Amino acid sequence: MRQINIQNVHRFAADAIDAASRIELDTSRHRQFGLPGLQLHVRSTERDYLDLCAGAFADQPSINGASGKRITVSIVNRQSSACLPSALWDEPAFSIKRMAESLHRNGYDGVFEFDYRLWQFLRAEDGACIQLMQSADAFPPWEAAFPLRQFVHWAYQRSDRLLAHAGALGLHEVGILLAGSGGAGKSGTVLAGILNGLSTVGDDYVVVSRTGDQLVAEPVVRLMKQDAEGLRRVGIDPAAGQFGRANWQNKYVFGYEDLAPGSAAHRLRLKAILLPKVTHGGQTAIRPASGREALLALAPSSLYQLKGGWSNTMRLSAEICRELPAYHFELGDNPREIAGTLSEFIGTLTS
Amino acid sequence: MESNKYECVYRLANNDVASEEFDGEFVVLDLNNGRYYSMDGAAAIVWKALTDGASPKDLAAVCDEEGKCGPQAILAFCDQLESYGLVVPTPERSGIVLPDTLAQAIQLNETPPETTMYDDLAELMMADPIHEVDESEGWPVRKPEPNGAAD
Repeated sequence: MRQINIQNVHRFAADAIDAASRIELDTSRHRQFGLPGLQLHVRSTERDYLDLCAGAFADQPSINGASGKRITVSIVNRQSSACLPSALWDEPAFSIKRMAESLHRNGYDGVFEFDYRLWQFLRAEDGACIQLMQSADAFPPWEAAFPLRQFVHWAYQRSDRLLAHAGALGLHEVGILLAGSGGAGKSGTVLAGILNGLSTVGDDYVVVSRTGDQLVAEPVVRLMKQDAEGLRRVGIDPAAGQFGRANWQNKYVFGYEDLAPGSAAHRLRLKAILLPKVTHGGQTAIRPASGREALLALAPSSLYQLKGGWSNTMRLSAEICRELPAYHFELGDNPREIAGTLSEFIGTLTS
Repeated sequence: MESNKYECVYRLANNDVASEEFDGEFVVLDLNNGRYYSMDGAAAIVWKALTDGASPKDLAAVCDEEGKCGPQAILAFCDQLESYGLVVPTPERSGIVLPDTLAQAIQLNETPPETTMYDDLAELMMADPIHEVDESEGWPVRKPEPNGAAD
């Protein structure tokens, strides 16, 4: 079998992408998604993965039109396609960073998920990509809430947008970014907000870009997640039937627009970055934070979860944290009070 | 004290060390190992002076009052930054004249210059899954055999 190492892995990437692109698929196995500044064309040997994408992406073709970058991701697996190349690692000391750098130098982005033996490559020259799986369902469970996130991240890395691991809430198109690692309270805050009159572009990932001198956040996925306790906190019974089964994190995945009609915003003009923290205190409080604290909340989880382009992610995250005033957001116990405090705060940002 | 050692000017160790400033405070990311550092107070002032071209010796000299931010604390902090791999000494000598206000700003702090290090990204950057999987698992195979089936 062909042996590969970090220095020549781009050649394997090229062969894999070309092999996948040659697989003929009928029109029922193609879907287009209009994301902010990105036309995402997905072609899959299995319809289930297309359904996964259709359920997850905040597809806005009328807004995002045909402008921006275009990538085509071929979703293939070894069980259904025998023509895909194989390789054997022969690398004395593996490093994800060195692999990303080597691929990037040669015009590619890519990762190998060792636990799933899953390859993901993007070729910058023509936007052709491959997701090469062992079998149709051999992908990490976190892909379900945001499939193909690595490709979306790489595409934005080659533009002026940032896929940020952050949530956002807004009122009348004016919004705030919510930054923090898992468990900080981003999703709980978004849930409280959308049930009490605020709008959102996402609870976990949003696209941040600049329009003139204004930073804006736009949606990339239409799904959000919350555990049973978080749902009960806002008065929702997770067993009521609309949520189905909990996912691998024991969280329920649902569309924010489905839960709170009218809550999905197309775009929010960002005026502040808030760092939520579950305090188990009585009252919600907002107090100033430094840009340094904001970056410590925003960047690490993005750097960890979105592989490759780390320097760029750090630089763009720092720009956001230098530009937007930052605040600690100490969450009280009452979701309605949290949302009310936030609405009032956002109101002060517009005046 | 090794006086000559501290006459150097530092530079960031390499292109993988990124220093981001926020109103005089810093977050420094070292992509070589995934560690990142938070600096405020005296640490941020010393870091900025060092990366602007001041020498450790000159910084220690202006902070001549013994105490939590005295010369020993300044030099110890410089040693720490070097040991973390964030900066490397260069053969250059500093031509910067440090203002007295710098020493005052440093010594206003009640804690010595120190940085908070975070290593939650290190797991990702330093991982070598090819060689970390137990052979009994059957895959990947360890060196010196071909390292593992990538498929």
